[in-house]
Amino acid sequence: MRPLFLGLLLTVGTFTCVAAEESRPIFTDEEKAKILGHSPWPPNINSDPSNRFSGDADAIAYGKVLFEEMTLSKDAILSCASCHQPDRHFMDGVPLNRGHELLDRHTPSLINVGQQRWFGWDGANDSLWAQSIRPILTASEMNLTSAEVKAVIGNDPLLSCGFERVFKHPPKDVNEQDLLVFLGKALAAYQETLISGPTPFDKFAAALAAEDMEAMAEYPESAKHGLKLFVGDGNCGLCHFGPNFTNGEFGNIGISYFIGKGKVDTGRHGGIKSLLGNPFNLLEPYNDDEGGSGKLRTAHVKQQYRNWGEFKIPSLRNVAETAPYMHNGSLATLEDVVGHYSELNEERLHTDGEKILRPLNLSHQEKNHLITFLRTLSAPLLETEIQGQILDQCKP
Amino acid sequence: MILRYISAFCSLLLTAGFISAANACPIVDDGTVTRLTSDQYDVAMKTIPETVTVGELFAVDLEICRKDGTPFTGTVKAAANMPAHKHGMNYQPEIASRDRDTFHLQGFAFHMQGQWQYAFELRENGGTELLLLDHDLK
Repeated sequence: MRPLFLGLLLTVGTFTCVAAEESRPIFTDEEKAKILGHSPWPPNINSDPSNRFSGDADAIAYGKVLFEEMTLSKDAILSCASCHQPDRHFMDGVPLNRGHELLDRHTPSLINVGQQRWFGWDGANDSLWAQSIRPILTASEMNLTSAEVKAVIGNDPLLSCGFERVFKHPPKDVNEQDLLVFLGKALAAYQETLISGPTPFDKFAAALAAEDMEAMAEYPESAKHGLKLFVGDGNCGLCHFGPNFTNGEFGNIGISYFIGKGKVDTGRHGGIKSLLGNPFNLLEPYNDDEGGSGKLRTAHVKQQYRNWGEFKIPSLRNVAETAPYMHNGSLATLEDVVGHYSELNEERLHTDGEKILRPLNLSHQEKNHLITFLRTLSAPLLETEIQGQILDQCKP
Repeated sequence: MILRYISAFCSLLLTAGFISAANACPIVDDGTVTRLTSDQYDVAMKTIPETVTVGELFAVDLEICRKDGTPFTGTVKAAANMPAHKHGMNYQPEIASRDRDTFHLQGFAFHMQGQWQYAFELRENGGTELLLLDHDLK
């Protein structure tokens, strides 16, 4: 009996060792450092110094009302929330949406938008509040003039009362441009609260940092293989860098920038031109942090030939929930995106552009691993209660 | 009386940072700077903040002396590239201030990990020298 029992113990012991072997991280020290570079999440949330209403509870509450306000579009046909739909991760799920006209660019998700430094696919705005003004005045989107915006706010008792209570000026006493800035800053204050929670990847990264083998074992093996590809041979983290999985800059990855016969979307090249001519950029007096360093990036940004066809590198947080993909919504699924990088057509890359892109030539299994990893970057929004009660005081 | 005014004026300049013993040529290497040399120049370089972070703006201070120990009086242009990627920065650094032989350049940002290379072009008396410095951004 004894030898048999010992044999059983040895067998069980062998299985235990094998199981422990399989749950061990499969990462080199360099890969481990890169993985930990994508954490921690959520980040420390700092208010935007260029917006004195950032983090202000009343401005957040008023901004949410504005975000859902249909009268901020011509003929009251849509609000910000019509394209940035709260139940669709603040995007719309279609390649190209329609405002007052069919749009050229895909609606990006607004989750974690407060973590960005450039706004819009071309980075034509350097603050979230300036970006929030843009669609209201754009003919193809909400299509109002600044005079019409002032009339909408001034003529609506609730919006007018809320405006005065938050900004301490009745809308009739504020000029059109100043009024737009106030609205943009309230809209931004609200959008800054849209922050996603910790994901299965974040839990794995925390376990990796703590060398908690048991917790690491809970992360799917396929996702680990995908993560190894992401930080290793795929080099994806060069652009999709840091806890928000973006370095905040722009790239040309061979997606077409033609938007019709003889018409191109110039991407970042046009974005910089638009930025520098924008009366709401951070170099102008509406920046509430005039003496601060926030405007330095705008002061030093340089328009270059290679910016043609470059578009903003998006965050990958919640990427599995925010199809379709790319600036023009031309890739329908994550499988299409991974396939794009696997079979990259180098001839479509800008000749003066990034030289680090090359076809990854992934196997079917590697593609599945990468997609499994990307699916572990999803989490619901952090619960944030809108504290501001200011509009309650305006109700009859 | 006149001497007292001159002394007070110099004290004021020192307080304002326009003159400091630390940036008078020749370079005194206190171990906090990176040294570059070319045929004609000795350069001490310091990044501000000291640690460069991916995507974050930083500044560079350059103290430039001629090999004979006298201050450089020309102009400086700065850039940085990733040679393997064949691209530079998305930002154009510029001289924000100059204190005799020391230049404070603002507007650097390295937007990717990897091998970067600073390029400092020094122009003086009709001549140009290019100083290169590698920087491995982890």
